[in-house]
Amino acid sequence: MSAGSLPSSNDVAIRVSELVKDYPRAGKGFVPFFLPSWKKDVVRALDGISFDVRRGSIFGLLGTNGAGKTTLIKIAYNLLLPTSGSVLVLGANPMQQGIKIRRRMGMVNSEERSFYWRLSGRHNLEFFSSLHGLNHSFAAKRIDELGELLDMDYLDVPFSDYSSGMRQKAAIARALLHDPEVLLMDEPTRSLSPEAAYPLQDFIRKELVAERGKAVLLATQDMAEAERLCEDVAIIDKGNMVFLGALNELMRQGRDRLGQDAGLGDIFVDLVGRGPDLG
Amino acid sequence: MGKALGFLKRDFLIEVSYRFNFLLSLAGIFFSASIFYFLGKIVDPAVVQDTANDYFSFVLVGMAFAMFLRTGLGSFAESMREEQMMGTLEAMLATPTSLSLIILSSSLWRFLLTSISVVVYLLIGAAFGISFAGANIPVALLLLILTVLAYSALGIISASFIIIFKRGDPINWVVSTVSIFLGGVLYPISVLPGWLRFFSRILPITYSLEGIRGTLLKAQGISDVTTDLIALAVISVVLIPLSLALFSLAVNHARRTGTLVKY
Repeated sequence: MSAGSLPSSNDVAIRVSELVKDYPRAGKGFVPFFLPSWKKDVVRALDGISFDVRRGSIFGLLGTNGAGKTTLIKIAYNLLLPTSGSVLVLGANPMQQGIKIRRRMGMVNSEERSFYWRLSGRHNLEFFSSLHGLNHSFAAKRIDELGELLDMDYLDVPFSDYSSGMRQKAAIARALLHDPEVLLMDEPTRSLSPEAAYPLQDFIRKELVAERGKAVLLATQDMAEAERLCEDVAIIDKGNMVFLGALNELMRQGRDRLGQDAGLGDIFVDLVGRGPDLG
Repeated sequence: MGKALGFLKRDFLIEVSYRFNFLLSLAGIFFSASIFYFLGKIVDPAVVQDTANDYFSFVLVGMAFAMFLRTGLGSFAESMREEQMMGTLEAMLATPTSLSLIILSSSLWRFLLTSISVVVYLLIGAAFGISFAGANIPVALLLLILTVLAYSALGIISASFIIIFKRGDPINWVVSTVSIFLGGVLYPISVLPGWLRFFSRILPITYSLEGIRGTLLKAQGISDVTTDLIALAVISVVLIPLSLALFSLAVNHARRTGTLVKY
């Protein structure tokens, strides 16, 4: 949030500070690999991004493809090292305490291939429970609970037979196995029809955040989804912060400029100069 | 332990979903053992008399235990690449499980299958008349553990290569080809020219097969295979820390460049 409305440390679930990420530009052959880092050509994916995600809220990270949303989420998971700056999750730096902090985080992405298609949904969830260190009987009970909560009466069906909506529910169930306090969601309803997306969005807003007080960092380029779910948003474009603040404030400023009929999509296009890629 | 069991259960369930695969592997073992049984009838036993009683028992033990070479060398890189290509690696790394544990545990099933295959090889050998009477199984197992450690270290170096370069791993290719060529798997190294025998002596498989053949086929004790045990232990002590250091460098490089889950 803006400097004037910084939440106290206790309220902060995720703190992103001056985050910079440079990727080496892809080069062919072995020579670029052996070049010293200062001689490598780089592409800046994130340029000094800072924001806080409050506990019990949904923070929208909005941007087009290539804006840097997924890069930021991967840094929070320690899949990627930042060039400078930091991401603190529940006060811990994933670079130093990755294993410890991942016990309190859950990740939802839209990657359908992240499951074993030869196995049933239940067997997939049992496997990921074991990676979270949950014992077998506790995991079995938890999977049944989540199946009920997410209305998944197809847990024993092979994953390969699932529809996109069923797979996305399985991804949410997997992220909730260990009942994390923080959820990172990378386009969780991409490729879903509105009929399939709306119930999941309601589940995220009502059940996970309002009822259970989880903090959600939602990376999306679906403006309708952001409008339905988020309280605070950051718009990033090519790694730069274009807007940071409350969604209401963004809407008010945008409508002042564009007229009262303007939706979040119009305001986004106005700020970024082009629309999201929803293909 | 629970995580390792989780990997074993996952791989067992996937394996049984491809029912014919395992049966075909067993049939393959039977036919290759049969081929070498008949080939053994035309080879003079004197050629292999230092380490075995006849060519069939020599080559059967060589073929069986060379499977551990291939598994140790290849399984870590293969597991890594499979998980990258299936898209499951990122989901696993989102759990409180380290990459090294993921790769080691993903390889357990392959080691278990290899162990079953080796037992099947030896049972078929026994059915074809090889005598394992007097076999010193504890010492053979000790040699086997050191062999697996040495080749697993090379396998971890190979996985490090895959993390950075993704494909075209030369380490697996060079080490496995040279080991089969010079390590005494299909023929004793005594038939090689003297200058090639020098290279045989820097390969772990040479010591491993000499020792295992001696303990299983010639009832040799620990004092007879001390040189083999020491050579394997020295190779493992040198290679394991080196492989772990290279793996750590590779993972950090991939984390910097954002290529850890790419393939």
